[in-house]
Amino acid sequence: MANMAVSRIKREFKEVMRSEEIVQCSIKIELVNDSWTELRGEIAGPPDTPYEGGKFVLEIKVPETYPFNPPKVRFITRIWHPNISSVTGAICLDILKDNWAAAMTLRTVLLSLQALLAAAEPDDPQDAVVAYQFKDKHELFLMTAKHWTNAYAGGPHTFPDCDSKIQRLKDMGIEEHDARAVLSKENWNLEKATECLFS
Amino acid sequence: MQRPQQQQQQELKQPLKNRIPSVSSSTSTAVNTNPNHLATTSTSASNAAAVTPPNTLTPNRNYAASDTSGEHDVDYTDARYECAICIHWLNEPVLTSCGHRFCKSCLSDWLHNENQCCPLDNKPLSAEHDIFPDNYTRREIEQIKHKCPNSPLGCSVVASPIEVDRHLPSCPYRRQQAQREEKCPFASIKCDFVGRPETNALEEHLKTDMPHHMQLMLQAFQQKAIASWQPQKPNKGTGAVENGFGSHQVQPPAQYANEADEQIVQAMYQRIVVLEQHTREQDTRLENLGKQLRLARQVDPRYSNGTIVWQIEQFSALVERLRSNANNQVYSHECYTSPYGYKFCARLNVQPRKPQMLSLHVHLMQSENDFHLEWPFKGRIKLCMVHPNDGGQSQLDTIMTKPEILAFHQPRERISTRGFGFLEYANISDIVGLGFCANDRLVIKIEINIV
Repeated sequence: MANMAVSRIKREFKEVMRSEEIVQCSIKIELVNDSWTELRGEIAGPPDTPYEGGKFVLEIKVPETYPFNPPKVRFITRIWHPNISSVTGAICLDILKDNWAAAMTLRTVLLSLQALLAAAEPDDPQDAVVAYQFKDKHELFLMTAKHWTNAYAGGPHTFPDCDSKIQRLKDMGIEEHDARAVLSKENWNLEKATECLFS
Repeated sequence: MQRPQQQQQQELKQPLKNRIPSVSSSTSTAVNTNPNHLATTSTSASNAAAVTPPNTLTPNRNYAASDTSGEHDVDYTDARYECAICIHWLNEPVLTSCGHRFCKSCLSDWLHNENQCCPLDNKPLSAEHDIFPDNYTRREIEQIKHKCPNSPLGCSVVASPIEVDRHLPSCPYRRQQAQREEKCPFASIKCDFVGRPETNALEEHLKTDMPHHMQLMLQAFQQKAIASWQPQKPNKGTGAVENGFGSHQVQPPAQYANEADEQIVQAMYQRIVVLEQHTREQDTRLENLGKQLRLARQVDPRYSNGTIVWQIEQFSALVERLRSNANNQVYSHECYTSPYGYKFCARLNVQPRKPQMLSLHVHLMQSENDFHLEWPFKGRIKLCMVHPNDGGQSQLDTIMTKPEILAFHQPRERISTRGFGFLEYANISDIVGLGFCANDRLVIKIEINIV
């Protein structure tokens, strides 16, 4: 790996470790291997959002051309958000693509992602299904996002109704995550979800 | 404090009077002046270190810490002298038209990467018009003095952060540092390679020295195997493991080595078997190729020009065979009148009613040329029984074809069922008696010409 990328990541690592946010436990970063090419980030769900109380783990891959090209970041923790793929965790965020600047750091990236959780951009979606729900059935979206935060990121809100519907599908032999994904997609309409699964 | 001063004064008053007191007084002055001297130097040092920067710069938390204590290394940068791209001290700083400083090389790399804007505020930047060397900042950074990060190990270099960076790779104390930093992952099995983290020497080492690592692993494995060796077999009868082990304490490695040797021998043996098999296969292939080569060396019948020289070896045995059964017959090799001409062969047999007489016939054969040839075949056939010693005695017969003879029509089988020749070609006893059969070999030459 290029010298510049390694030495910069090392310095950034220190920067994150010294930062205020780490004291507040709102962002975290750790090494995955010794080559400094892959890191694991963690952000706390911002307050007053459906993600509050959740911890979201991110995969960060540092290209050799860093910092001249952005790091490759995706969510490992599953999340229900218009700009994040509910399937792959891929993120639609301008600074991770065309609007990347060499002056940005891992810390600013993590903070930007936190900001993205607080302010979704449904008009520039990564996950069209989620974006549609966000715009058309916002209440349902909030519930789904909270439910996913609870299921995958350790969030506090539970929805017995959702759980029972998932259990119904699980009883039919569907994997829990598949059941949750289909139900979320079908706005928690159990009949439609069943139809979708078995047609 | 008073006394030495007096002595000094005395000395100064009477410099030539007494040499010995002057010596003693000079030592005492040295003792005396030292504290003063130290005091002044320490203040001057603190002036150099602490006074000058604070006068020119506003004290910064990081900066103050790094400068006065010297505990921190060059990694702690002053935020104002930090390049936002490499997050390190500005090296050859440049200033943009939008008022941001970067290292010269960092910014040019960024602008070459299809980004024509400032990394900090996205304002458009042109490499030609919007970037200026910032010598003021360069001098400011040069004023800052840092200890080499290896100072705890004894390095006394104090220089600007940029110079310290440059000094580090060649710092005489760097090795200990490097050892702390980047050992080969195979160090635990005695690979003594040590790379410096700022180079990719370790990566190279891992790539190129793989055989060495394999060897080390083998050694380590063998040692481990010896160390963990338990002499099971000898203990089977005794039952007392410890006693048995005690008696075999020295032996195990040797026995193990024997076992290892045995394994090697076994492996070698298997290898030999495989190789032998391989050799046999090669022999067979070689033989087949030899056969093909011999066949290829024989004259292609296509180019025999209508002549068969039929050399019959072991003639007497052949005669016996022909006589034993009337259905036995022997065919010569095939022959073409020309490369695109008629194909034929000759046949010998013995009539059952006349076992003394040899029959010789010529048969046309089917060939790839038949479709364009003229049928029936028209030509002259010369049969010659060659006398090996005396050409004059050779028996010569010439036959002219006739269109009504079926033997000269287009063959319907591989070898035409009808042949043309002599039912009673020669008396076998004559053949032998007249000496045609030297070395039990009979030569019959057949020439066929188209007319």
